[in-house]
Amino acid sequence: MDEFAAAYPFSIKARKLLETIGEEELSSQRLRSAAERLLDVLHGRKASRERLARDAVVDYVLARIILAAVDRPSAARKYASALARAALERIREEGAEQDFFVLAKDFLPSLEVQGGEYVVSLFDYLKAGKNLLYAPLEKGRLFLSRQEAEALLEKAIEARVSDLSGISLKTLPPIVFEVAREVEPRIPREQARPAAHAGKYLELPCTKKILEGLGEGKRFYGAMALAIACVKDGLSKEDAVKLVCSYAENCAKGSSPFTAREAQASVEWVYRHSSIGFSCTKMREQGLPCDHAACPLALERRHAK
Amino acid sequence: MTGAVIESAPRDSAGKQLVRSLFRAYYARSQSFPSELVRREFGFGFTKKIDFRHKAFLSQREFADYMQLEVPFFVSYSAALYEKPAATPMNKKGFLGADLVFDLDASYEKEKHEHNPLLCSYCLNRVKQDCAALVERFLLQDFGFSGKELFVNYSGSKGFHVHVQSEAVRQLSSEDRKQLLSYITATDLDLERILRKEFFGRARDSFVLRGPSSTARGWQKKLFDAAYAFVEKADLPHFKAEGISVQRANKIVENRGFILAKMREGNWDSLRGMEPVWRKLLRKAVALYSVDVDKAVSFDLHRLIRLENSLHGDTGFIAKKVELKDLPDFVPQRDALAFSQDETHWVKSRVSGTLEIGEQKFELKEGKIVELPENAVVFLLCKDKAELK
Repeated sequence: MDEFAAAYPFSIKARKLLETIGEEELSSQRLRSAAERLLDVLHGRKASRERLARDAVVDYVLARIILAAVDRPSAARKYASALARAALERIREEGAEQDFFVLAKDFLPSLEVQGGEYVVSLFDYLKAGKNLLYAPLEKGRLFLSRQEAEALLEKAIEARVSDLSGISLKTLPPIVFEVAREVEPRIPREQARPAAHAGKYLELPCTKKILEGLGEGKRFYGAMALAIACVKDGLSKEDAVKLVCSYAENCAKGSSPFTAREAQASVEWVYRHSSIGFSCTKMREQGLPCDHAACPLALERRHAK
Repeated sequence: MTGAVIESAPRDSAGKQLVRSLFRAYYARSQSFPSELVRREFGFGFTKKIDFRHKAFLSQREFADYMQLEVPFFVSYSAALYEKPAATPMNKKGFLGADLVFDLDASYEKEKHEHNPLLCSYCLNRVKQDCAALVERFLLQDFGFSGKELFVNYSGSKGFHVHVQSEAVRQLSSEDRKQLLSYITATDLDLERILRKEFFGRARDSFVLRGPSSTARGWQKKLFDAAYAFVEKADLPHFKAEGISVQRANKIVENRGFILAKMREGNWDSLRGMEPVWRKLLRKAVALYSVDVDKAVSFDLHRLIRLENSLHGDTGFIAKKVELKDLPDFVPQRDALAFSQDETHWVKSRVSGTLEIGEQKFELKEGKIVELPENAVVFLLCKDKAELK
């Protein structure tokens, strides 16, 4: 059990091991050590396989708590993705067939093998966050190849590990936030760039400049401008949230950071009022980057008049 | 008040009084309750569909008394279940899960038919067909829900609602529901992913066109079936209608067996140059098989939806719960009537046109006073298209 828990610290077996460890005082040293492991994962550095299961499991729990305090969804996604990928690589490399089914029982409880096909319920499939449109769906079940089943398990692990909604920030001791503040600048930044289907508004020089991040006092208006550009370019709300959250991460932290939640709220508002216009005047009034003379949108509007 | 607000409730006081007394009499003889009533949030409308919400009841009795006393024109309840349904704001309610609800209210006015702006039997029939397709093709066949988990509800106006109630469904997130909607509406279905060019050389035409095979499932299966049936059954006029030349059509007919055998294996390239034809056929199949549903109703976990068997304040019709087996024969303007066809009232019509209600047809002329059965009178009063005389 210990080896399994060390390899897959997000599994039920790992959780059971954690229960046997019991409560221990949360020292700043232990937190900082977990933070280093978290940074190793985010920077793609492989962890030693010689680690004690107990350390691996506690590191995992603390890493997620630190990520919740950092409040950067892209970092949580990256961490979850790295862990899930490593788990599946291990299964493939070591032919750990039993591990596959033990993990599947936890993350895809409906999975069974029927006539060489891997069958999962629609509900398990949806929980893993996979696209249904092209899926081999029949009578509420999906019929997958081994490769597809592995990909689904990876997605399911990623979805659960990256979901930090169960961690209540209010209950965390101040030391967690202290460590989170120390770690935050060392977390690799996601390149904020428009989705592949960005249109003319997200291609404007001003929106590109905003994406690089803004200083205190302008961050909210920047998020609003980006959200409006997204809605005008026809991006889905999900894509807009991703984009505006990555912008939030690039913004100056200042006395209080501009959080992903605040960024998301601006997208929510704009998508509820989708007829809102993209106003160059407002941009200038709020001190956002706007080179009116060279702006293709301004030029287009002048021509239209 | 906005125009829309005024429009949705009877305007003249005599008419309003009559409608109100008839609604009260209906609720005295017929009450319907949602499952787990005490966990639901309610919304009521007196001048528009929802004037206020965040109302909750501790028992069916309390709800029935409220209906008798207040006689709302519109009654809605939450698809969601809450620990404290009356609490505000929303995050204080304690969300426990939500039924899955589909709302079909697409407009069919652009389809070729003689549209009746008062009450269009063609449009009602079309939305019913779409509702049946949603249930049969997607909810039962693809998603695997059982008939016991579903019920269909005529909205009382121009649409239908389909409710899915089960423990598993209640835990679906908004994102999960969007996936289901995306599947049903197929708006993002990319045919490039269905028909793929598999290259085996460097030349531009060194590829095989791969498509779904006979063992495909989901949308791929629907599209395979549509194209396969076309090749199997089409004759020259059909081919011509799809823009296929006589020469090519003859080739298809000559090689029909071979083409079908290859298609079953997933090879859609046994006859070269068919790609545009396939794409056109598949586009038509997507339009034919997909169902247009109001997405916001399904993914918004906190949406209020009309209470089954309550009255609709825009028509006076019953938002009638319909058994799945009865859906094909269900005719709203005949089967969802709440009032008498024998009792009559005199009204002055504000519109000209034909009104078909309860298998009777009435010719209305603007400004003319006519005697109409109660159901027709309530309908016109609710729509503010007549005044009581």
